Amino acid sequence: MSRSEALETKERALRDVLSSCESVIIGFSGGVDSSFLAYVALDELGPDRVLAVTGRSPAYPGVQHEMAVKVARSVDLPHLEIQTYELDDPGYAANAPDRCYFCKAELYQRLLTVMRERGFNVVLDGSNADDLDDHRPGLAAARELGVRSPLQEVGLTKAEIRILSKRAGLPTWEIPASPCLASRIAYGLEVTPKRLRAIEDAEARLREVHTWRELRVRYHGGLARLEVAPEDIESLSETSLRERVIQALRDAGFARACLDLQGYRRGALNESFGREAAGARGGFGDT
Amino acid sequence: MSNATEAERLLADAGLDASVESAGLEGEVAVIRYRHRDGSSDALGEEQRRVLVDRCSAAGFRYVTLELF
Repeated sequence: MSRSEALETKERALRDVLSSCESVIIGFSGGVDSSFLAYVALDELGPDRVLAVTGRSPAYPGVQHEMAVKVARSVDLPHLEIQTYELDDPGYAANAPDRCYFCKAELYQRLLTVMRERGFNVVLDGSNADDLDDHRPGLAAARELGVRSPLQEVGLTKAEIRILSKRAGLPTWEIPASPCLASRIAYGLEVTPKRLRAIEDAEARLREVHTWRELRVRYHGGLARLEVAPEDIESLSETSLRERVIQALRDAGFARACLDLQGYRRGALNESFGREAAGARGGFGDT
Repeated sequence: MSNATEAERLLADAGLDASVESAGLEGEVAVIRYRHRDGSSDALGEEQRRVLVDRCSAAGFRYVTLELF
C-alpha cells in the first residue's frame, strides 16, 4: 500500500469512528491535532452534532487562543469557550511530573458536563498515534473518564495530520507546537499565574524582536533560560539583537537570564528524570 | 569539588577561559561567562558551543547556558 493510500485508509477509518459517535464534543486547543479532528468531525457530522470547546486558563497561551478562534471562524465550526481552574488544584500547582494528569482531568470533567447538558454523546480529544510513544499523564485522565482519541485510534501520526491538514486548507498545518505555559516551569517549582504571565509576556516580546524558528522561555526559579532553535543561536552573536533580547526579558520581569547553548529540544524540562522514568519509551510530550 | 569548579577546570583544559556558576532549583543549570582569550566577545559558534556543552555536561550539568544578564 502506498503512503497516499495508507493515509486515505486512515482518514476513512477516522470518518467511520466519528460517524459512529453520532454527536461529539471536541477538546479544541486550536493546535494541529484538535483543529484537524474538529474539521473532519464537522464535515462528517454537520454543525448541529459537533461542538468544539476551548478551555481557557492562565496556562493556555494567548497565541494559541487566537489560532483556535481563527480556525473556528474559517470553517464555521461551532465553538464554545469555558474557563478551567487547574491552578486551583494543589496536585497541578505542585508541578510534579504528573502535572498534566490534573490539568486534563479538570478539562475533561468540564467537557463531560457540557456534553451532558447539551445532549451530546461523547467527548473527544486530539491525541495522536505519536503520543502513544510518550509518557503522557493526560492520556490516563482521558481513559479514566471515557474520553476518546479518534486520531490515535486510527493510527494517525502528527506528520500525517499535518499532510491532511494542508490538503484540507487548514491554517494549522505548519504551525509549531504551542504547549501549555506550565510546561516551561521546571518541575518542583510551583505553577502560579504570575510566573505564567511572565513567561507568556517574555515570549511575546521576544517574538516582536526576531522571527524565531522555535522559542521557549524556561523558568528555573528567578532564572529565565532561553531556548531557541540551534540554527538561531548564532544570530545572537549580533550585539543589537542580543541587546533587544535582553531588554525583552528584563521588561517581562526577569532579573536574570541565560541562553541555552544546545538550543530548543522537545521536552527539555523532562531531561531531569526522563532517562529513569521513561526508560526506552522516549520523551514526555511536546513541551 | 563542585560541578562549577569542575566545569571551569575542564574548560581550561580545553583552552577556554570561562567562569561557571550553577543555578536552578537543584543546581542543574550551568551559567557560563565566557570570553575569547583576546576578550573580544561571547562565542556562539557551533564548535565553541559544542566544547562548552560537552565539558559542562561532563561536569554534571543538565543545561549548559551562556549568561545574558
